[in-house]
Amino acid sequence: MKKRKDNTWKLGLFVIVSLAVFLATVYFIGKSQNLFGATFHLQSTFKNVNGLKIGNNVLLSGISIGSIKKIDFVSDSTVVVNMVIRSSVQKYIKTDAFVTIGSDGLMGDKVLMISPGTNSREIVKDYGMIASNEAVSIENLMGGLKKSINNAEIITKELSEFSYKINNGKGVLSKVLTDEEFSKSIGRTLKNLETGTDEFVVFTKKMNDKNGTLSKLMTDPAYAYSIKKTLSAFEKSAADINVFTAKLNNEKGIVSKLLTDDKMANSLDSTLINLKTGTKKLNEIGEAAKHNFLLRGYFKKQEKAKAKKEKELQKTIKK
Amino acid sequence: MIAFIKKQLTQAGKFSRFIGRFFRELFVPPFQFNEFIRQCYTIGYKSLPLVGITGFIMGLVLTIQSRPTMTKFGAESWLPGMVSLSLIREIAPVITALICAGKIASGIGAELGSMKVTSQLNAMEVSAINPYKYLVVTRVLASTLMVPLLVILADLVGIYGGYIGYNVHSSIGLLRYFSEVIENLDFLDIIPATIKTFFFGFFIGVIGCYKGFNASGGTASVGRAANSAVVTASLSIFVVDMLAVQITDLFY
Repeated sequence: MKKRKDNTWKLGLFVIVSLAVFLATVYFIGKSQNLFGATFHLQSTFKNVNGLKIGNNVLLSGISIGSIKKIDFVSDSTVVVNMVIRSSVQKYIKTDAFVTIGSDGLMGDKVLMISPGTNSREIVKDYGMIASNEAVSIENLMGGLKKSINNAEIITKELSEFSYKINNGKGVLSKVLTDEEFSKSIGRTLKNLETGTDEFVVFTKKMNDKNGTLSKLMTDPAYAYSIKKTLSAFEKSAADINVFTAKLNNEKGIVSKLLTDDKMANSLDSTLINLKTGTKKLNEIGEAAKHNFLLRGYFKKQEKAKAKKEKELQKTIKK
Repeated sequence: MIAFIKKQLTQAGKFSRFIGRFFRELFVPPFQFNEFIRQCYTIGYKSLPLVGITGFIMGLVLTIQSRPTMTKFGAESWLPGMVSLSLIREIAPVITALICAGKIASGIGAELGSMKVTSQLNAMEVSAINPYKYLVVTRVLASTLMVPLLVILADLVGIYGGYIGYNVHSSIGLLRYFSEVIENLDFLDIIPATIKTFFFGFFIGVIGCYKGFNASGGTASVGRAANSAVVTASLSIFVVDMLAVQITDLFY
């Protein structure tokens, strides 16, 4: 009898431990599905839930805070998703938060992600509605991808045409790429440029030389002072010139009259004409003097000397 | 041929009647409570080391064996979840039930068979003890209730074995491992698997008792009864498992 009692507590231990393990498992599973503890509900409507199932996780900032409780149709194109969330996180979800359907890993289950809004400070209520963003489905992705593939096709086609033109055309670019002569001339140009720059380097070196004029000009204060002096003197003379020209322009002066007065010009003109007729008459007087007997001898002497000179000239040429 | 079929059908009928009698006797007092406790101790507690070792090895081996494949798919982190799921849903119940079929059904079959051939059952009836109530009801009830508990412990030990197996090549904390396991579990994994273990236990007990009760002839039939009890119980476990999984599949 004593031995049996001894066995009975072992049996009791066995039964209790087994049941405890079972209950603990059930409790933990339930806890992970939010069956125990305080919870609240949120709702959101979708056009397409992309295979979201009851029991899928709800994430807030990547932390699992609840699960999907119910998915129902409300109209032919709208589905309302009811989720159960731990009450402890309610204060972190504001009314302008929104939900998106994502997937857990590449092939994993769908998850509902709650993203925080920006402005609202008001906490969501139990059975409150929050906005939803439609998930990026594979179909959408494929559509976008197709567009970019088409664009890429066009681009590559044009690129191939372009490169064909480069290879076979007669444009500058093709010449640059294919013509040997052209490249040689470019080479020469570059060489010239190089020597040019070399000389320029030498020149700048010289320029930078401390004893050079240019460098002195640029750096020596004494030089600068003298230049300044020269310039001021120059300025002064320019001012004088200015005064002079002003006087010139003054109508009362002769020069100004010469330049501007019509009468003066006319009188000058008539004076010149008179001078012309005067000289003509003087010529006539000279001609008359040639034929005059008193002066004929002088003119003949002059003619003879002329002829003699010519004869000597011819002689020297013959020699 | 017809005689053979008729014989089989008679067997099935007798077996069904045996089960029916169990349910009738179950609710009719007096209850043999002390005998029930004693049977629970024998069936449950005494089987624990065997079941524990089996469960531990199953978890360990399953983890180590699954690792190369899971690594190939880059899903090594799913190993705890996968091992625990397969343990809880299928492997632990079936392996435990088979172990129990070997241990309990053969024991019951041999015990009752030997009592039958030595006319102890008749002696019981003479001394106004209902042998069916005293022997069959207590044993069947005990195995029906104890096998699920054994399976639960086998689950736990098996998952712990998986933890050891996981830590052979990579490293994971015990708490992290178990939270990973719990994350991957659902009530649909636990409840149907637990319900079917009741049926396993029931069939183990019933078949052991039936084979022992119907032993006839000399002492050779005791061995035959024990042998037949193990074979039939193991087979029935697989049949019940198949049915249970198909029914569960309907709901999932």
